[in-house]
Amino acid sequence: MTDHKLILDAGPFKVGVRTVDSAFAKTLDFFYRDALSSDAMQVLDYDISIAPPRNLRRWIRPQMLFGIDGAVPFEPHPVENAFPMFEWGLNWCIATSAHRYLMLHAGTVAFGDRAMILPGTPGSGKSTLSAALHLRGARLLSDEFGLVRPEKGDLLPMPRGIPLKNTSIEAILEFDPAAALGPTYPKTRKGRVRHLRPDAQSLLAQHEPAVPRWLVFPKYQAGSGEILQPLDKAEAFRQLAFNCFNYQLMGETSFRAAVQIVRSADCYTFTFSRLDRAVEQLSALADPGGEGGR
Amino acid sequence: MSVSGSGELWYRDAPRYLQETFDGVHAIFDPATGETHFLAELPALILTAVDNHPVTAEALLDRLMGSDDAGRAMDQQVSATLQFLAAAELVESTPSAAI
Amino acid sequence: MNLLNRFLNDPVIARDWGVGEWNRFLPLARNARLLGRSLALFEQHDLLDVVPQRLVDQLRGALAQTRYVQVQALRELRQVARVLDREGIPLMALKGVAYLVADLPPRGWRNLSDIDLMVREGDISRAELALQRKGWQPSGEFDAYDQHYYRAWMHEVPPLKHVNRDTEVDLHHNLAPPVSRIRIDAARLWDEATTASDPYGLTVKVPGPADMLLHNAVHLYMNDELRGGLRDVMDFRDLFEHFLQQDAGFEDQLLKRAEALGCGRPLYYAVSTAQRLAGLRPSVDFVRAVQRHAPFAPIAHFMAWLIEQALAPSRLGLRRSAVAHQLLFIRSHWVRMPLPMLLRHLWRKALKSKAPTSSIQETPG
Repeated sequence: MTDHKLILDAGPFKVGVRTVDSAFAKTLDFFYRDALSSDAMQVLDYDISIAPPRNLRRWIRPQMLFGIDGAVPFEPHPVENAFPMFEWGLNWCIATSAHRYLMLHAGTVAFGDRAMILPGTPGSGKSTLSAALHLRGARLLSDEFGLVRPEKGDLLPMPRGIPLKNTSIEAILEFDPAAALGPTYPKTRKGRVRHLRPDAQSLLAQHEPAVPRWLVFPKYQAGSGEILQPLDKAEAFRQLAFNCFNYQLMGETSFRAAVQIVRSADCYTFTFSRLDRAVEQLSALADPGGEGGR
Repeated sequence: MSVSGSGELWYRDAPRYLQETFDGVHAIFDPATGETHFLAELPALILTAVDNHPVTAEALLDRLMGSDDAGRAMDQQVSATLQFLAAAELVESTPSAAI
Repeated sequence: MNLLNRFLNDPVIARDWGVGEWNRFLPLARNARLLGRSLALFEQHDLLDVVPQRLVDQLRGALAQTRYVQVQALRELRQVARVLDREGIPLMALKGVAYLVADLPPRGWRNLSDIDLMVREGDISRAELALQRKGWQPSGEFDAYDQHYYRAWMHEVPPLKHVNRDTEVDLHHNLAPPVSRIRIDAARLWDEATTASDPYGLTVKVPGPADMLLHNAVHLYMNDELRGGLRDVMDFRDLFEHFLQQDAGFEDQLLKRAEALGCGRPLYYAVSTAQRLAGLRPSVDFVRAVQRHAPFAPIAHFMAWLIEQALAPSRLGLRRSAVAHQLLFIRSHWVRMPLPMLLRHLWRKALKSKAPTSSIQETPG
């Protein structure tokens, strides 16, 4: 059994990953080759192990445990779901500790160094929309974590596999049949999941911040048209705060940072049902002349 | 006579709050509680008045409206608004007129 | 002693740390809830320039969380104090929240998850009623047995929580359950209490300096929650150093007070643990005097070993550490309840049971 010891560059974080599961290591390589190394001499933010349990579940309907700091914070997952478990566990580690940043529950993409923030609760469609915008050429910052440096008001990228759930998978494949999707995980806690791989350009640019220019609150609504409406700043502020993981915790810092974003960005609500039209409308925001979104 | 004529004194004894205004809606950050509030014009006005100096509801009313018919209608609103601000821990009251 | 203990003992060693040390340091400090304390030590010793920036960010992130819970704790204290003040019920703040309101050094980094308060035994029913009338409710599900356990065996009413807020309020009338072997006479705490206040009208009592340390010591000695106990050991050291700086005769006062309250044994454990694991450097005379309260030597050694395994494991996730926690957990119930009640069942269970938590594969290095 090979003991894989890898280091993942996840935006501002360096994540150590230790595993003996070669299938999982291969999946990591599929998604993050340009951001993975095996150089052991790096200071880590999180040292994660994906390892089998010591009991019978090592062999019988085998499971995997997510370990951090020598502890096991979650229930085991079936071994075939090692990658989604890793992704979800890493997000948990970040969400519970990275309060050096304001953490928005938002998809974030960038056109050059101008960022579009898409905050949203589950079901809003922000991940699918982020995936589609990315496939059309926008730089992926994150589909889940808008990391804001409060003292600068800018966004730090953390491009990771975008989890698409159930029918979103088909929607993205219809949108772009050549989309680089990873393996199918038929039975996760969120249903059927496949991840979209971030493109090489986004991974290479993952240390380049972007400035928020557009704040768009998406809402997927089957059968609706694509309706982009300006949103008044007070309501935008309220919703931005609501969609921030650590808004309360950061106190005055988050208040000031949210004010700055809302004042300097154009704020909208966006109802959509068709991905192609949605991407067209949002890209037009970034590039009104229609010359192509970069 | 006015509903708010109970003589209670309203005050705020806490660090200064932060205030940002967006088109008539006031976002308030209270360092004492870590809470963010969204206040309309009247509550924001009353909060500022109470923060500046301890005040009875009656004195507030006089300052805001004068003693005509419209003023008496404001009476209930002012009382209700003070209760709301107290529940949000933004202001407090004491029965005594002397602080 | 692990890397974290060596750092707490002498922070300057961090100047020589390489990648390997930093990668061992962060999980240890995170596990012991000492990220904020460590940041303060780096700052105090002008070491920030040697700490990798990403680690500084992790430490600052932890401190942001600490600031938030501190605001919430003081907010809750203020609200409770207002209600009890109107009832004419004297109120004492204990432990973490007392350090905050009394503006003691731990204020710079001390986390806390709930607030510990004390009223006189005669006032506790009235206090509980007054708080419940104003919106505090028992937090969590408590059946009749749980309630009985809390009221009869423990020193608390069930924790309270206000309907509008998230902070738990633990209201006590004493510092030790009345059935344990260690009895702290609450009346004497009130005798030595001092008044702490803040610029915004909050006024409460806090224990006198020696009593603060003895409460910490008793809590450690009888503690159920041993994970993260190193944080409490650091509190002991930080408070000790602070009070000694304020008053050169503090060691004597502490000793006399411990003897007067019958807390010599917990003081012994607190001092010896803080010396071994947290860099406390008391005077030779003090150590000698405290040593008189040590238990029979083999027990002292066994306890020292247990405590070190639980609070300062050489590697995280070791099975030994989990077993030590369990033994100490059992022991702390032992000192809370009469011995015959517990001994037969629990010791047999302890020797037979497996390590409770981590079943993750031990990895080398």
